[in-house]
Amino acid sequence: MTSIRIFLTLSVSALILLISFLSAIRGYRESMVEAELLFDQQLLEHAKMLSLLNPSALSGGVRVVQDLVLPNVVNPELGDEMQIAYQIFTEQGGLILRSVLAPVTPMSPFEVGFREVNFSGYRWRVLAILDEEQSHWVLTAQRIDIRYDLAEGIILDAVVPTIITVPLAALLIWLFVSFGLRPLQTLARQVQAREASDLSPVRLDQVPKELTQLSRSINDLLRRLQDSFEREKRFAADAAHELRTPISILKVQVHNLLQELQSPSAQASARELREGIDAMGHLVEQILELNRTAPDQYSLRFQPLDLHALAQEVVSQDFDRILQRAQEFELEGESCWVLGDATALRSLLHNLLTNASKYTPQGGRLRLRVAPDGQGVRCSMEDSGPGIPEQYRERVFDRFYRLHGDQHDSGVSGSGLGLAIVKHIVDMHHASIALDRSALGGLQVLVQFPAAAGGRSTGLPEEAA
Amino acid sequence: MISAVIIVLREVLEGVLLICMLMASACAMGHRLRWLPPALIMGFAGALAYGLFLEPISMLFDGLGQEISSAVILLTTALALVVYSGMLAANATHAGSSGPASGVLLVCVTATTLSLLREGAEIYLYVYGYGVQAGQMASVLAGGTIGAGIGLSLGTFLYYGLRALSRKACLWASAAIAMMTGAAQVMQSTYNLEQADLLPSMQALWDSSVLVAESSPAGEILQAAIGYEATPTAVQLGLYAASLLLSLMAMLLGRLYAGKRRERKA
Amino acid sequence: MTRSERSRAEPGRRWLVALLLACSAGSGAVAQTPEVEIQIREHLFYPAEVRIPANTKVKLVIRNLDATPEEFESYELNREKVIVGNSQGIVFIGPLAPGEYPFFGEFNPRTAQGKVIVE
Repeated sequence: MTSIRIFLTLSVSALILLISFLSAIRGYRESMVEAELLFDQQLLEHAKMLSLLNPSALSGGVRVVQDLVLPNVVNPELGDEMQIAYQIFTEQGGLILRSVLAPVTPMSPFEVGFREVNFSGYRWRVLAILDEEQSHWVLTAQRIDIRYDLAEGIILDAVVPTIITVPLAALLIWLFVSFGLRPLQTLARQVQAREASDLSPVRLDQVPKELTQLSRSINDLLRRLQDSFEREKRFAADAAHELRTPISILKVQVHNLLQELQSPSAQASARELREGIDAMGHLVEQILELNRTAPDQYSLRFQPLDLHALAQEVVSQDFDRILQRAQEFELEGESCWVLGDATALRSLLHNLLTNASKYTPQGGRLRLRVAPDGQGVRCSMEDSGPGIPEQYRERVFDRFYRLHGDQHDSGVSGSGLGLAIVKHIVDMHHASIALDRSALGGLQVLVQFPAAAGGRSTGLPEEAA
Repeated sequence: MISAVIIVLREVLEGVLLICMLMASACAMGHRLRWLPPALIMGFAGALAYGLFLEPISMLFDGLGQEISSAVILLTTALALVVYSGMLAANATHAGSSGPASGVLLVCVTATTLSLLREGAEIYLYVYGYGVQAGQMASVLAGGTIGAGIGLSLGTFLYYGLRALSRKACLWASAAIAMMTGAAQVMQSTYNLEQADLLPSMQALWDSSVLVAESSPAGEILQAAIGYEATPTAVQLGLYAASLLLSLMAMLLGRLYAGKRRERKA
Repeated sequence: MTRSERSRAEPGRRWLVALLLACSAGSGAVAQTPEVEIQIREHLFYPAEVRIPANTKVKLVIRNLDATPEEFESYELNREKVIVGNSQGIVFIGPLAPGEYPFFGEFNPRTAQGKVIVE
């Protein structure tokens, strides 16, 4: 059942149509039988009247007289045609008298009763009776087609309105059903139109009985969803925030400890400790960043930005790290404009860059290219690292997901949040992200920004100029 | 008016039964009804052409063109329905094993077009001959509307009735309808072949018109649905049984094929 | 039907007969089949009563002299054939057991009535 409205309209209309048409047929049939009886009655009355003429007086040759014309009060147009042809025969079968339309031969065999026969090019209903003295046959006849047309003309007038009302009824049913289903549509529209972050209850003006339960269930579900969202958000943010202070204290204390320790082995373990604490600090920062960039959290401050210039800025900040790993880095492309948020885009580029550097071995190659592409801007980060096998490419955007668990080939530990943050920022800018194999041998991350609204992405957007 | 009702209803009922079964079962097999509009257009256009050229067609084959073309149309439809019943049985046994979608659509389009073509031509001839030529438009239109309306209503109930069933039940019920209407088409083709003297006309084996007369409403509906014949001859009965048997075999084959596919998957 | 039309139609007919395995013994014996002509005029059958011998195949040639089409139909004979206005159609009936077999014009059932009387 694809549409309740179509189903209800069609099935109810079909039912009404069936009932009214069947009753129309029944009425038609009964009326026709009734009309037939009336016409037969006329034949009989006229035959009786003719038999009273005292046919024995009409001797000497065959007389031809006018047919009987029945005045038709109901349908005057057909009235003149409704003629009754008649014949009078002697008992021996000698024709005494006939009307103009009646043939010379007997219209029907000499047997009392009604019969249908063909003569003079028409089909007739013929009545044969014997007069009271049993000496003469009186035959009266009416054309069947005229009888039929007369009767049907009247009955049809009664049937036609029934036929016309059915489509009208169907139209009304359609309207009523649509009206009846309106609360359902309102509910659907309300649920559909809302923002992902809007979990306020659905409101209907007058909730019909059938929808009370549904709307109550939906609102209940929304409330629970909201509660758990809030809880999760608060927990992550609070936890990260709360962790910041102890980590800072730990950092200071490790620094002090390192100063105080004399033995080289103790210094080494303290250094490891420091690295651990640094990593944890990084993780906490990332969690906070992730929460800040969640699409429903971020208050967008979009403005036209030169993505290439932004990339240069980020690279110069992170260049030490690349130098440390003795990696070869190139920045390609040209100035190109996107509409976006500076902090978020900086974070995006930073994450892409550090990720690529981190997972690429010492002395490897990195290439960042930011250039206009068609209507939009294309930003690609390539490396000569191990890349990501195709089957894992979807999952790497999940929070805390890391390829091969914690142990990466390069032996580096990461938070597993970098690409999740990248994805958030990409979504925020209505851009798209794809992972592919790079010409350098490793991973290629492709971010495609849509055209900046209001101008060509390559040049300065008009509103910025 | 009543003859218009009977003529239109009889023709519409046969077509509607078939088309509504095809619609419901094609939906149950997961096909969209995109095949329907072109089939309807081709069917109506074909009906118009068949009605317009009926005279030259009748004159083919020594004046037996009408019988022969009718028989060919009927037997082709019956064949399509046999194939379709097999597809339905296969799909009911294991979803998606009714062969390529284009095969199902081809069968649906063929059966719909041919059925409309034959039924529509007679309605066209009647409505044109009496509504337009003989000027009895009111009566023909009233009767035709009543007949078509009743036929379409019954079709609506059949369609929603089949759709209300579970997927499997809908497919098996449709297979049964395909089998019976296919046999009805074969039965009708025997009248045409006998009339053209291409099948021997024989003594009837029995006469059940006392129970259900062919001219009664029940008789008409039974004739459209299962090819009811009050006075069947041995040849008619044999061909009818052969058609049923063929459908059953197609269904069995479909079931076996689908069963194998399911095992291979599992 | 003219001679040339007949000869054109012939191969098709032969092919069909072969296809149907010539299961009808009658197709070869068309020549001996008695013919009866029925005319349709003003939605009436002439003659309205057709007498044919029992257990014999008969070829009915139905000429429709009206401008409107007519459908020759009989439940008892299991026959149904549309005859376009001003044309003719052939219907084979029989062999039949003695009795009366009514037929009618489906498009004009009130007037176009007739019967085959098998004796």
